[in-house]
Amino acid sequence: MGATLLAVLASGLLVLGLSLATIGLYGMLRRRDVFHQLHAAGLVMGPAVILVLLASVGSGSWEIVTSAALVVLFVLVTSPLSGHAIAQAAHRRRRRLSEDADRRA
Amino acid sequence: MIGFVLRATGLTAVYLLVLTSLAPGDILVGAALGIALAAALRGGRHARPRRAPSLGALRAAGTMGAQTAAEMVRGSWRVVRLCLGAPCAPGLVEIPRGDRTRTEVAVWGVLTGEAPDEVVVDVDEERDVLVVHLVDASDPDAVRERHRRNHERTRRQVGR
Amino acid sequence: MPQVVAIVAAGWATLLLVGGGLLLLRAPDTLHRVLALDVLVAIVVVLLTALSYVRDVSYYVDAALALALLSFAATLVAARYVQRGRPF
Repeated sequence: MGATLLAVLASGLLVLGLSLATIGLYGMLRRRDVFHQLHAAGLVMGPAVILVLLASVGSGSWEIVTSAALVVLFVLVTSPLSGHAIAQAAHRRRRRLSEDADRRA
Repeated sequence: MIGFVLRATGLTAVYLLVLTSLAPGDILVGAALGIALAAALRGGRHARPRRAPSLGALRAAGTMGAQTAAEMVRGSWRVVRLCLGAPCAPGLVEIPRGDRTRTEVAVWGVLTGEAPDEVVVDVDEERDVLVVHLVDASDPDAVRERHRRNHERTRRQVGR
Repeated sequence: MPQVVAIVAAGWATLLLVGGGLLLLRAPDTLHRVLALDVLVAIVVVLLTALSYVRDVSYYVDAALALALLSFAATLVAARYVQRGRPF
């Protein structure tokens, strides 16, 4: 009984994570602006990956569960940081371009 | 002292997670490595005096974790709607830094960035604000108010 | 979890990889390309995790960790490079 429940839970998490990744990718293909794409990319890099990794509870192997836990911790730390790095670069570049345009005008 | 123990335990936990074992020998080796690394990290350039974390700080960390998880779920939903083409108003919002120190700003930034609908863009040192890009920036005051409330609750729980 | 679900997940992730490649090809400038590469790595991490469920081997997840680490460093350096014209 417990094993079945765990298997259903894991399958659900896996499908939910992959759906989020698909939606995020679709959003990235649709939107052209860097900032809009950043949010969609954050969806793929953060919640989608974490949900897929959390599905390891149903894999039945402790080695996979502990490795996945390490990756989850790592992703939790790095995904905001890489998003911020790209956002900062885009923001400063945009500001520089508008300042150049002002100077020329 | 509590901070040192926390760091040593964390490092030991990572070692055991990589090995996937709870054998006494592994725990012993991991604890030795963890304590050695934590001691090495304590010296050198991190030697400036730190405020020791208290029980209140641990509770505040728990509350912050729960808040971040809730924001992640809510933010994911908002981003899903953005991706599927629902009308929304993305934009930049400036949040005043308040009385946060540099370290607190860094922690705040990472925790805020966990939610996919909030991306920390920049820290404007001249005007002392944090620039955040939001999926739904139609009500900037509500966002500022939420961050201020969370920050005050954390301050209260830590008890400073 | 049932073997079928894991296999379907691996196939799904492979299809997503194609979408990520399309995103990379359509990227108009460097920042978009960096972002697309980041997303591609996230999809590869998902694919490796699904593969480890299919084969019941944990090494794939360790490989995913190493890949995520490399991509994180690469993204930071690339974003810095776009911003200042030099990596450091």
